Amino acid sequence: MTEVDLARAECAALLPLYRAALARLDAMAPGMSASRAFSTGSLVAYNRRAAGIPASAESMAAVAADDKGLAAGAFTGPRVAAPLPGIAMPQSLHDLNRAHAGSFSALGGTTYLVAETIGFEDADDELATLLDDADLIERLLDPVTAAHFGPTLVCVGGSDGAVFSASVDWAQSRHSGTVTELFFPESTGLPVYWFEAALAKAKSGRFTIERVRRPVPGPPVKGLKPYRLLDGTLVDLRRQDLALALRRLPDRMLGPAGKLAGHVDCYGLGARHDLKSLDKAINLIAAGRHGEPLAETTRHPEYPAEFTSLLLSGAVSAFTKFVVGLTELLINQAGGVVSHFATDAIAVPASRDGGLWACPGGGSRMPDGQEAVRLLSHDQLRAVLARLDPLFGYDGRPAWKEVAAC
Amino acid sequence: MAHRIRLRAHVEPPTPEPDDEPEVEELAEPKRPPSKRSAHFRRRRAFFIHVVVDELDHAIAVFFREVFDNWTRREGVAFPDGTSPTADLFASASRQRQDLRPGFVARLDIITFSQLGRLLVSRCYRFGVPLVAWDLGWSLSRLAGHVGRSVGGAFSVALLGCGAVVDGKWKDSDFCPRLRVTARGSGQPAFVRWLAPRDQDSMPKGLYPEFVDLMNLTSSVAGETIPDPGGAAAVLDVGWPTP
Repeated sequence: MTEVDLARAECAALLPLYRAALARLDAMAPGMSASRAFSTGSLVAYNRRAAGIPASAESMAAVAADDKGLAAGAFTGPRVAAPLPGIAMPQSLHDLNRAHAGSFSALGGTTYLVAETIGFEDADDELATLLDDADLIERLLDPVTAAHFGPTLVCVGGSDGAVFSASVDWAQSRHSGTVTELFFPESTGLPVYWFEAALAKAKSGRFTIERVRRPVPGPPVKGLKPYRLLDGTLVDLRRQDLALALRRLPDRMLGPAGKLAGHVDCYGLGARHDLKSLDKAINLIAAGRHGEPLAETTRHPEYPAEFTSLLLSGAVSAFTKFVVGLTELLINQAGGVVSHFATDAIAVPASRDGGLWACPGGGSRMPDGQEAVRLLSHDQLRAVLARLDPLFGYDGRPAWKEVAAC
Repeated sequence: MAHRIRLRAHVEPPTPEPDDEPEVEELAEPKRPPSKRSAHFRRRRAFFIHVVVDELDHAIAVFFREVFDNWTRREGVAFPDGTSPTADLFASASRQRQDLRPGFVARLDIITFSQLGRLLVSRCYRFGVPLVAWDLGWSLSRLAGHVGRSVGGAFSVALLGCGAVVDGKWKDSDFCPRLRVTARGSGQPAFVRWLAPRDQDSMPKGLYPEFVDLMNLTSSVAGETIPDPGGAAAVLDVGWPTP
């Protein structure tokens, strides 16, 4: 066979290779776009725009890793200090997903358990729990919580890891927190109506505002028409609370409106930013995750969309971080460690029977003196996660969903 | 003086009781053929390119195949502009394809890189056929006619045949798009997408052209980094030709 014939045959052989890869992809993430899987580098990337993709365990894990964690910059990296000897340590949940989707060989046979708190579908429930459950705050003041966080819980929430930053003192009241500083960067193009609406929402009894940095008033927003709800009610988005109006819908309309309400209250519509391309670059100063100013020059600034409500969407991400923090505390108390975490997902080194795992930087020691971390057994870890069900489980469901054990 | 007062009221529409709802036999909706824009349909199509390079990493030939399901719509080989196809190319092109019905003789198309660039635009951009290649970024770079400046980790590439050198400077075709490649960091696959051409009528309507890098796709599904197509074929248990 000449080289040309060989190359021609190789070109022809790409087709069965492509088909086999697609078949494997379908078995793991049904309906997943091959280009999406490629472009994200993650097999289980979840494309919400592609209708009909079931929210499988893999796809939900990818939500945590890609959409909310890595993309938003919320992922803070592995907590194990040094790479493990002889093991291709996954550098992120992104890699972990990729590994567990396949042969797990990248983990060198080490077992993991990946769990997540909530997904997009459950976010509205979680928020309802946060805001409407009268006993929740009191239950949050569990001795374990207080020992770890003290009376003040600092929540840094927001959309895309920027723009909104607040610290909430949960101990002030059963039903509300105290926002010590409500900060809206001036030059991100936030319209005044949006700021005032968020401020009014915050003052409505849920939160107490101690200090506010107001944006410089800009030109009035044109073209914002009243929003018509399913029952015909018109909501002036410049003055009225869309989420509140949705809650006042008759019960029979709550089902169809539930999806919209979830988007309004939480991620999605409530955190939506629209990209706008300008002719020339402008200077932007946004707020970082900890409130630090971030200067950037860009021709493509983002502006909040019509229904943006970062106070609420930020509360969701802040809440999930709280759940993650509390869970990590419980896991540490049980002797285990959390090696990876995203906004609302964690990966815990665990094995079927537990034991020690050689790992530089670990707090335990192997019999030969090598640093190690202690692995929880799967049953132990599930018992720890189940402890949070009474606190965060909603409607009889567990607080943590186990999305993969690899 | 009478004042005209305009009232705006909302009346709750009566809610029919569930028992009062008349039972209407729902007619089955006529089954519609799958849209050519659906992901399911697009998965059945693919445009493969396979680059052959010399010792200096210069492309000497690019084999291409457009398939629908397992049926090859078009197959050919491209050679560099300004050169002549080798005797081996001619010999290979004259052999019958294996995937055709008996008695049907089809030769490989022999075209230039510039023609292949325009063919890629036609099939993959305007008609939305997924472009599939092993190491797609590298493969496309072999067909680059012009590479723009890197800004913010992203740069654009004009394929050969999608522009011309005028007065010593590259000028894009008004009707062909450029490729935009956005780096995602070392070891990460880059994002590749088409940029809109100057002529708005040349843009596809409602299509989202796909790029599939087989190296990354197979690595993802296998859970390990696979550096060559032969290794991927072994992992996925499909055949791979050997010399």
